[in-house]
Amino acid sequence: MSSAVEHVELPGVGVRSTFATNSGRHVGVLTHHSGVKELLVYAEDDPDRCAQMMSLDEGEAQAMADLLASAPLSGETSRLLIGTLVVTWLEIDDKWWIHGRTATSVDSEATSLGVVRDGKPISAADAGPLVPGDVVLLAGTAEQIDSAARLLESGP
Amino acid sequence: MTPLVAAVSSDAALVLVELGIAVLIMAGSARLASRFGLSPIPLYLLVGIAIGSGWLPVDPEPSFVETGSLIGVVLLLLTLGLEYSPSELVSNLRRGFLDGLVDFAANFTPGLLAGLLFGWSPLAAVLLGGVTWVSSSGVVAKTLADLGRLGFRETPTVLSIIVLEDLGMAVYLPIVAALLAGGAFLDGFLLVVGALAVVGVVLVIAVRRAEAVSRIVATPSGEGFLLTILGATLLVAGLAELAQVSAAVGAFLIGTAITGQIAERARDAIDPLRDLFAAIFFLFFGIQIDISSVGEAAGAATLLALVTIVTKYWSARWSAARAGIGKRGRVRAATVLIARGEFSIVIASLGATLEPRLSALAGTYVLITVLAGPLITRLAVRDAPVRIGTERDGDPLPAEPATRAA
Repeated sequence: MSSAVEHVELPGVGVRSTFATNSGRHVGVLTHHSGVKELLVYAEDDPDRCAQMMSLDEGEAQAMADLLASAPLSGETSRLLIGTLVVTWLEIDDKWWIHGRTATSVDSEATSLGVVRDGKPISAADAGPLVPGDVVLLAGTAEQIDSAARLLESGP
Repeated sequence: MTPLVAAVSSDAALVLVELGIAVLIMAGSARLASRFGLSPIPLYLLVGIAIGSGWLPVDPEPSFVETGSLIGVVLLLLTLGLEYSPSELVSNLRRGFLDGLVDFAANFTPGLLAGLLFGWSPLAAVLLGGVTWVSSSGVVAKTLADLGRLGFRETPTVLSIIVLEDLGMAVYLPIVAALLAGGAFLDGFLLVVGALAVVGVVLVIAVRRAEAVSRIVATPSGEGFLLTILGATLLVAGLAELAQVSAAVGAFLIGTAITGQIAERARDAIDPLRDLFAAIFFLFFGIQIDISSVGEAAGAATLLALVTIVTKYWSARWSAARAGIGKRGRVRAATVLIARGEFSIVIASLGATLEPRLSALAGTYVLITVLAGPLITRLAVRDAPVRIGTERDGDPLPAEPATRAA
């Protein structure tokens, strides 16, 4: 269910966007002209007042948005949405199942777009065994990406 | 005590030494004020009064201080204009017109009546009305940020009143400037109409052509950018003054015409200059105040402050209630707007020669309200939000928080 978000312009400061949760609490974000965002949680007894606030810079706000928008995936930096198609990139960690195996050894519905090693793109077939620091590019639906990411990390 | 070096002020070394001492005294004032989270304006005024009365053995080069104070007014209004985009001004004017009108009626009238009661000329009374009308944008914005209230639901109402007062100044200042220019009734009337027409045309250009203006001033060179903004602002302010529109309004309009990323850059470039020259402006205003008239003015200023604290409280609470704000929020909105500051002094400085008692009264009045305002709003409602992630929870952010953070 989507909630009605109210946007209010704060002259000289930025834009404040808030909505009420089903439980009656108000939450929101204050976006300053400078790009800094502040997370706002309004008080229960006085809904005009913020009980808690937290400043987030642009990177932190993006990370928070990713966390809220999708299931948390370790090592994932960002997602690109093209309609319903999701493109993402995952950096290989030496604790991952896929470490030392080839990218093609994963049986996933997500499409592997290749591997970036030392800043250079290589096709998944040519990359050979993956080493820590390799970045795997994946495309697919959100579900396909989620399951592929789990496979890469923990194996089948 | 006579100033040590008044006789040889042409000596370059002494000019520098005296200016250095004066600026250092102001530096001490600014540091003291920031330690207590207060506005430095009252201390600058006091330093000015002390210098003007010969209590301090310095007499900074008068022609520099006078010119610097002119530049200070222009930069104060330029940075104010930079805060707002034309679309913000227009949308606030549409939504909050009634709030602005009530604010004006409730807070201009006491000053006007007081001036008439003192037996001042009607024009001097109009100036005193302006002094009591306009809240201090700088102090209010800083108080809101310090107390973590930017996200509160009553804050748009508070900021909207501030914006409308600033827009109101863009109409008020040219009228006063034209009236000060004097002449026969018909001449005065034509001047006012002409001045308002100029403001209207420039405002329309600013709203319609803001992008073009921003593009013209944009350049990758740091000093080229600073000098372009500064030069253009001084030129337009000067031309506005020539056209009896008042330099301050010219600078404000330039500020609103510069928007977006360029405005952000311009603020960063101009802010240090603004701080310096605004300090000199307050110093100069203080120097001109005759200390013997402060004693006379103190009683009247206190009474006027008490009355206009109440009227500002009432008008702001009315606006907050109209916006559907709850009881506690209304009190927060009503108390945060009490502080008068830089613009009251700007208005009073226009009438320095017209009514000699105006400066002392306005100075004392600002001293009282600028200190009382933030204090009252802090004590009236104690509910600053808990700031997650700051060193000590509940602490206000340092000086100006996210509004200026990169």
